Amino acid sequence: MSQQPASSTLVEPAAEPAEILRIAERRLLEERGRITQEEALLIQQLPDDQLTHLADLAHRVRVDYCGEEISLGSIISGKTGGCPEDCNFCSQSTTFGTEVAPTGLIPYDQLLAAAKATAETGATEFCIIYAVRGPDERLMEHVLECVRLVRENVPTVEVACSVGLLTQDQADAMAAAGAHRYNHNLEAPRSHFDKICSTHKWEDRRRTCEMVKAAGMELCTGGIIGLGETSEQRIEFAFQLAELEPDEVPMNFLNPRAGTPLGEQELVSPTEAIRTIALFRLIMPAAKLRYAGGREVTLGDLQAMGLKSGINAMITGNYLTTLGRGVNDDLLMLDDLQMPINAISKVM
Amino acid sequence: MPDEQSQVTGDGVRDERLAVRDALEVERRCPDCGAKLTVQILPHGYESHCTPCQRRARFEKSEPGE
Repeated sequence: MSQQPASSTLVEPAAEPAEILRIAERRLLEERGRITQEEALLIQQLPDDQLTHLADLAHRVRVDYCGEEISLGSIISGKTGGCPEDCNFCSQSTTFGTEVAPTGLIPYDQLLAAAKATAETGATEFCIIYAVRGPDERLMEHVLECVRLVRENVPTVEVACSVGLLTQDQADAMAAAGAHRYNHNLEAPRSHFDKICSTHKWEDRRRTCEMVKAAGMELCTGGIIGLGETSEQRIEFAFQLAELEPDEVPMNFLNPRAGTPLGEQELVSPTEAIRTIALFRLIMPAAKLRYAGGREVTLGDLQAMGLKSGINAMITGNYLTTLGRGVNDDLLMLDDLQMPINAISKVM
Repeated sequence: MPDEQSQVTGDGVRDERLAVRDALEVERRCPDCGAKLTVQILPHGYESHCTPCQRRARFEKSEPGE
């Protein structure tokens, strides 16, 4: 996304809330420009009674840049647990004494059945996710075969994968096999990442994101809100994501996992979650913002409001180690909101 | 700066959110032997089994009858 120079005067801290939002509206909708980090911080400080106005602006920006449609997708774990990394929110790390037992690689027939079930719900994205630092040769063979099988047998879904840190050769091989998109989350703001993980660096993650783009795949990168970062760091994070110009940004909200260092972490409040979604939309107006893990727990009855605050994609069904709410509940919510579900953009 | 916790969020609401969380968990321990279950969560449903119990069942099946 191009960063157009700000033509409006920088918002002063003392500006009225309505004025701050009006300037953001003009910048994004009339000038097709971008808000600055300073402006985003001011918007973030708007009082709670301005939240619906912020959400409304974010929704209009979403519709203007991305259209009315909602993209549905599902995820599946290609290998659960046994991960050597120590991301301290994750129940799949071997470092922590969690209840998640490691599995082998998912059998191809089980994966294919899940892809077909996904397609039957009307979803168009299917992402296969492995709990690993990165792929070795054997795992690469499994991933490439999974991509081939789904592409050949379920043409109404696009295949994405998430296999950790990559080399450029591995990224190229996945692109050549037909992986439409690669997910690799930055997870947290750069300034907070060393409190989250010690076995790899934020820069390692960013480098993999750059390789994904160089390989020609769509980049899916987002993170988890509620890892102990400050409100200001959430804005920092959104701008760090925006720098990568991702096609898709999954927004997870921490669902604390027993046995992990963040197992007792306080949940993000629903209103703070809505505020964060809206700000991410204003900062990344053209990205696909996807509801991901933790939305049921964090947002509860405000899940519909998130769809009116900038979200335009959803993971439906279950997650990697926990269940989601039923897909029918999501479809009913979209029907109530009169939001159309998008069909696949191209049949592979 | 808005407070992290909603001003209207009391203990009851927090408990309700935790109840939502609990409802989305899957059983992780074998009810028979207490070992960790191997769980494969699928987009729609999940499968689980207890490897020690499976091994035990195979062993007992292969033993000659008394």
